[in-house]
Amino acid sequence: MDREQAKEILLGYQPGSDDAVDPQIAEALRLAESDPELAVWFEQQQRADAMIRTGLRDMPVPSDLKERILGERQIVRVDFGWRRLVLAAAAVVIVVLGLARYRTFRQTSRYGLGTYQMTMVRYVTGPYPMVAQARSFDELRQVLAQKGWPTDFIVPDTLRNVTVVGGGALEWHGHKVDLACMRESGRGLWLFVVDNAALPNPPATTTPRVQMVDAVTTAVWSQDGKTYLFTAQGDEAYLRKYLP
Amino acid sequence: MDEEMENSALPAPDFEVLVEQHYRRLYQFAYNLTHDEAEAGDLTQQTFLKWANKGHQLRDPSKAKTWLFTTLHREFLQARRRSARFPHHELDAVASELPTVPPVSVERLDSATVLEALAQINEVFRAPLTLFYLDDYTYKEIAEILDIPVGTVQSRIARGKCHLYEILTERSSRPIDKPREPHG
Repeated sequence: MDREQAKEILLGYQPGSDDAVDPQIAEALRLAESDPELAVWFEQQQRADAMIRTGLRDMPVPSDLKERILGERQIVRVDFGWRRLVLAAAAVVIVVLGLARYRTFRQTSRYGLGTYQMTMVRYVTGPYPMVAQARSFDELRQVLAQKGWPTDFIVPDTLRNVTVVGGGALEWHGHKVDLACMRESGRGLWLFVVDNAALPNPPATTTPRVQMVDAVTTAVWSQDGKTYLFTAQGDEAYLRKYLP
Repeated sequence: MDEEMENSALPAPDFEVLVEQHYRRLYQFAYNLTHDEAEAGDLTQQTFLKWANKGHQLRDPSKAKTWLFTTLHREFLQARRRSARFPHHELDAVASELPTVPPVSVERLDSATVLEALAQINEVFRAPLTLFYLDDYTYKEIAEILDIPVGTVQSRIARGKCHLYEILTERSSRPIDKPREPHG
């Protein structure tokens, strides 16, 4: 075994694991003890791995994820101590619920909020046509109304003083989506509005939920039967300045 | 994995305990596969939903964690196969040569830097690499989760790490990285 071969083997070695009993890994470890250059490399590599490991494990997890998982499970919970007849009935219910859940999941995957967010974010991160030139939300509503698009969206008070530059009339699987384009201090801001009926899993509350989508900061919330998606050229702190 | 399931089995681990122990790592694994919070959340939920339906059939309760990671990865692959936007690449045919292992010289790393660097790595290398770092999985365990030979895991981790070190070393020599943002 030469130094480069030993490096390749040691790259996947988990210190303290059963890997050390593997003959190849054991040989590579012995070589690292006797070869000073390899020993230095191995030490550097382990230090880097420790930093990568910590960085990866520090990645934030949505605060409501655990509750969502536990909430979903209650739907399919079964008591296997019941008598056979009850079990059979429960099995039928489970199958029906399972099919319903599966159908919902398929719909959610294809038409759900996550896909909607990604699609809309990608729309404004690429070149897109500005169908409506407008200098205020009232002007934008007039243009959207002429195109037959809904105009009953609610503009958060925090966005009332930004500069409106235009908007768009988009579609999402047959549902009309309003887009308002704004600028403030040289940065772009966008607000998408669609009926909750367009999504199998619209946001549950009026409290905005901030999420990263395709490395872009976004926020979603629900109000009066509509789903609001807001994104801007800035980090989370910047985005929050404009959230209701 | 199905061969590990049977109809009459030992009691499965308590669902809530299992969620508490593993949902964070599963979500982090899912996020590194999808790069999308909503999709990663959906995948994690779907994995536990499957456990709620089938977990009691697992013959060896100590395999629950591996079962969860395996199931999540399978769900991810199935979703990807349904989507023409993300073709699955099989790189073994071109990955037979030993990689040139670069020197690694990074002094400090935060979570965002690691995630961005991992995102630049090909999907076939990223999955074993993420498992390697997230939960200290060994070659054998990663092979079981991803359903690939141990030798392939070793090869993919080595190549993935070389690429990751290159990206991180290059990044550490740059003064500022501007994140991608929507255009104005």
